[in-house]
Amino acid sequence: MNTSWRTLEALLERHQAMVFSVALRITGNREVAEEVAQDVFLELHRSMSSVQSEEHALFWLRKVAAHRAIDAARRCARIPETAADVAELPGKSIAGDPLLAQHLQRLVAGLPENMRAVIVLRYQEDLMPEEIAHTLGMPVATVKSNLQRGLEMLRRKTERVLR
Amino acid sequence: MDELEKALKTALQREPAPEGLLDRVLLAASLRSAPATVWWRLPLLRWSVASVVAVICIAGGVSEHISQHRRQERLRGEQARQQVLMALRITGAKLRVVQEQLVKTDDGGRGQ
Repeated sequence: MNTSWRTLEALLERHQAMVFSVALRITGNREVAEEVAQDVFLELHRSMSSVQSEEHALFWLRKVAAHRAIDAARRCARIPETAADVAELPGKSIAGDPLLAQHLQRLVAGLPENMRAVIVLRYQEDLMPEEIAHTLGMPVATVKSNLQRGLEMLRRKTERVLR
Repeated sequence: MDELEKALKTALQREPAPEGLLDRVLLAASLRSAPATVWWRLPLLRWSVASVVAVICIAGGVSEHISQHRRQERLRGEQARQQVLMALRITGAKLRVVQEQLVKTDDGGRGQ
C-alpha cells in the first residue's frame, strides 16, 4: 500500500461527512449526494499528486463537491421544495424545534442552485464571503448579493414561524 | 447574527456520511487503478506477449540475414561478371596483337 493510498484513506475519513453534507444540502437527494461524494473522492484519487497540503485538500474537496453538486442538482431538474427526499431529510433538529429545522432545510433546498450553494457554504461550512467566492469561482459581490437575496427569501417564508 | 441565521446554522449542520461510503470509494479507486497492472499478472497473457515479441525479433533477424546473404551473392556475381569481361578484353587484345604479327609476317614473305 503506497503513500498516496494511505493519504486518500485519511482524507476520506476526515472529510467524508463534509463532502456528503455539502452534496446533500445542494442536491437535496441522499442517493445523488452519495454518488457525488464518491465521484469527488475518486477525482481526488486521480489528482493526488497535485494535492499540496491538508488545507489545500480541504479547499479542493469543498470546491469540487460544491460544483459537482450544483451540476447534479441541475441535471436532476427537480423542485426540491416539493420533492419527497427533501421532506425526509433526517437533519439535526434545532434544539427544541425539529420542525423548524426541517422547514428551513426544505426552504434552502428550494433556492436556485448557486444561491443554495452560497447559503450552504456560509452556514454549514462557516465560510466568509471571500472564501465562498474563491471556492465557487464567483466575484465576492455576487456571493454577497446571493447571500442577501437568499436570506431575504428565507426570511419572508419563515416570518410567521420565527415570530 | 440574527435569529434566522442562527436557525440556519443549526439546521444546516453537517450530517454523518452514509455507512460504507469510505469502503465503496476505496474499492472503486482500487478497481480503477488495477486494470493497468492486472493483465500483466496473468501468466497466459504474459507468456503470449513474450512469445509474440520473441517471434517478431526472430523473424526480423532471419529476414535481415536473408537479405544480407542476397546482397553478398549479388556482389559476388557482379565481381565474377567484371572478371569475365576483363578476361575477354585481355584475350581480345592478345588476339589483335597476334593477328597484327601474322599480317606483318605474311606481308614480309610476299615481298621476298
